[in-house]
Amino acid sequence: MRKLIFAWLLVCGAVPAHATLLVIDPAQSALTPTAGAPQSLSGVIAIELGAEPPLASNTTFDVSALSASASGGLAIGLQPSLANPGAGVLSPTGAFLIPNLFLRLVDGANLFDLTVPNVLGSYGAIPGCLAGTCLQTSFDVDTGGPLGIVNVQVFAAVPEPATAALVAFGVGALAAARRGARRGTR
Amino acid sequence: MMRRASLLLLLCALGAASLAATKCNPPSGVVVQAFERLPGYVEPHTPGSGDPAEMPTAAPITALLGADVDLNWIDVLKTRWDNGSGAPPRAIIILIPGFLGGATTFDPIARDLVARFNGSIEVWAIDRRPNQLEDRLGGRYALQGALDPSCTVSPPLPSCPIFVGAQFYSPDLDAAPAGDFPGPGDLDLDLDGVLDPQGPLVDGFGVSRLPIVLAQNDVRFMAYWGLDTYFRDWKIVVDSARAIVGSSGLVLFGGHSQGTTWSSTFAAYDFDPDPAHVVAGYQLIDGLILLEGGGVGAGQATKPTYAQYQTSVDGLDNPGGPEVYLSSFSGIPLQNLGTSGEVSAVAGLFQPNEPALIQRTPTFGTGLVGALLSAPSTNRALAGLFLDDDFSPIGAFRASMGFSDNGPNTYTTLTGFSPFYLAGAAPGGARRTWREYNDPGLPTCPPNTFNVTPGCALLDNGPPSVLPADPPRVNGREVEVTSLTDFLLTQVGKGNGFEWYFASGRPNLDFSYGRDSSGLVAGALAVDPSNEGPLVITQNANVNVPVLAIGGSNGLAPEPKSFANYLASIATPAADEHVVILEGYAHLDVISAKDNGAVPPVVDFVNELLQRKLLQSF
Repeated sequence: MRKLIFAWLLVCGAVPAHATLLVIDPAQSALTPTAGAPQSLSGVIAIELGAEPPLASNTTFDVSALSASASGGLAIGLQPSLANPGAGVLSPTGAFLIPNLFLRLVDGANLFDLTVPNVLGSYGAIPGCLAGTCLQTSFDVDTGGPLGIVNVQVFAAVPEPATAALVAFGVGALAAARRGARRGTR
Repeated sequence: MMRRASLLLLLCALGAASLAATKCNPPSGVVVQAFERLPGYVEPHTPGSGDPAEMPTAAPITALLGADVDLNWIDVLKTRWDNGSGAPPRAIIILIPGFLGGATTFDPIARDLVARFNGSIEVWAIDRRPNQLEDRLGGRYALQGALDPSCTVSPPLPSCPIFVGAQFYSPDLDAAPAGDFPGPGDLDLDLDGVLDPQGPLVDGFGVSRLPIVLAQNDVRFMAYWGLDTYFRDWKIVVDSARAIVGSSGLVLFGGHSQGTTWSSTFAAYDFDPDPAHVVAGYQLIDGLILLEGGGVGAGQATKPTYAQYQTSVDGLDNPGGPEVYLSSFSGIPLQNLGTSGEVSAVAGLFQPNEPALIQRTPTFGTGLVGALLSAPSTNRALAGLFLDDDFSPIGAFRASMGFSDNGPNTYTTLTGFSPFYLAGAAPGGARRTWREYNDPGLPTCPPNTFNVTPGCALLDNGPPSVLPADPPRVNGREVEVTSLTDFLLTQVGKGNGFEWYFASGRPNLDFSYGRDSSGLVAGALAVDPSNEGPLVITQNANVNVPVLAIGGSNGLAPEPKSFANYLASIATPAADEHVVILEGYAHLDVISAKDNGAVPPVVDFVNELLQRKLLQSF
């Protein structure tokens, strides 16, 4: 089933063939504004590494595809005009840094480009990760608006076969919704 | 500060009101843009050096800048995005303006870039030294008083500070077009319809005076403002940037148009006079960015010897010698162009639909420019007719800003110039008006025909050149991407986009060596084996930093081959040479466009190089 999800995203043109696909865990991922209720976060992230762990030295760590959605309806992806909007580095310790993560946010008919500087996190077999490979990151975004500062928590893992079917359904719905939103903004 | 912010907000509102769709993007409250003055290279002959070789300061310079003159300074226009974090940037892009250009020419792209990175990069644009010598009193007076009630009525009153600022620079010629501006006849302040004298203003020293325009002999120290002096200034800027971003950050260096020649020659320069040691420009930076210019070429076939070089410098140094700054270009007196630009930009922003103020000046009311821009126009239309890619005959002064079609446009070709439309008088005594870049009614070809009035704003220039040996040619479908408001804003306030006293004597001598002055260095070493001499361009073949080259298909670097000669001369691997051609972009669009197509390639370039750096240091 994991292959099915992957193949489906490939067809959508979102994920390079050699990327690792991780599914965002909505129970451990959220957008939490200083003012207002938190929203859970779900979706998928594709990661491309320059070399496979275990690493002897730093390697490239690229978020090559992102399709996420907040429970309030906000869709989050990568900026499409850039060649490598999630270019980062992974250290042998499992820590990663993306100096600039270029996101595109779609909220209904509104479209925003947002760059998040200095996204730090962990990747690999990290504490609390039941799968072989997980990703964890947390960063703040100053919206400059009524939401104030939004804390973003992301925990994503390579999906287990038992949950893959459910995830595939969710991802499909998410992508369809996103495509619809994109059509609506063009 | 509040006044300035209010003025900016008003400018945005003005733009929105007059253009219907102009937006202030990014928000003005978040982009932070200010000149910073750094101590520059202490060039010994320059006033203020304190060196025995220091040349006397001419009285007009003292009158302009005060008794305690020191011209060994570097002015850098720093643009950053304040995201509230206070974190230093990871990358700093340092940009050199092109021929006759000032630092503010980079304002639009600098704003776009820093906003795109949300604070993690800064853009530093350099004002070359001669910008210190501009008497901007009239322009500042005009801008500061632009909201005076005397200026906001139509027709504006003679006391409007925009008129007073114009009168500071230029006597009224009482020339056509006659009309209703500001009263029965013309610009004259007392409305008597006869030639008015220039009007004095009170400067920062409390002195009431006329404009200070410098003669060649007032600035003979510019005989020593050549590439070596400029590069040592810029090395200070580069070192300053490196101190901020550290070894894991990026310092990128580049320029626009002739700025690509300056910046690529900087990369090839050896700053250490000891022949046994090299401190090369390229070793100090992480990459080169070439915008609409092909980089440094091979230079003259026959290059001056060391003795000839010294003789030329001596000539420039002597009163009555050759020009040290460029006095005219294509028949346009450049100082007059500078003074005209100061007030015409203010008029174009604040009195867009009034009769063109500047058509009454010696620059635009007479001579070649007067002949080309003779059709009575509004302030806004005149700026467009002077700079737009469809109406300007000078490719280096072109941006895609819209069109004027309320009068006859004659497709014109002149030897040595790009084809252009010559705007004729609008029917019925009306003035030529301007359609903005985003006007949905801009004429296209087809259905119009390019050489039949009114012609077209959006022309298809056809395919690129066919054979590899063919010279690059303008091609592709034109676009309209530059806001006239954005462009006029680069001319007012903190700085301007024009260099009134463009140093030409010594830089032209230096540019004659192109990318290799090793013959001159050999001559210098024959005289003093410990000193490589006055110009040390010896490292071009070793330049190995990544290069991003961006051209416009309607500009001066319209095809990838426009950059081929330079790229073939350096050691940068092919994988690190990135060439992008933006279809339809004219020469200035690459730095002035809205939603600038040059921004994503620069972002990609920075991303790639940052990642490469972090591999070594994270």
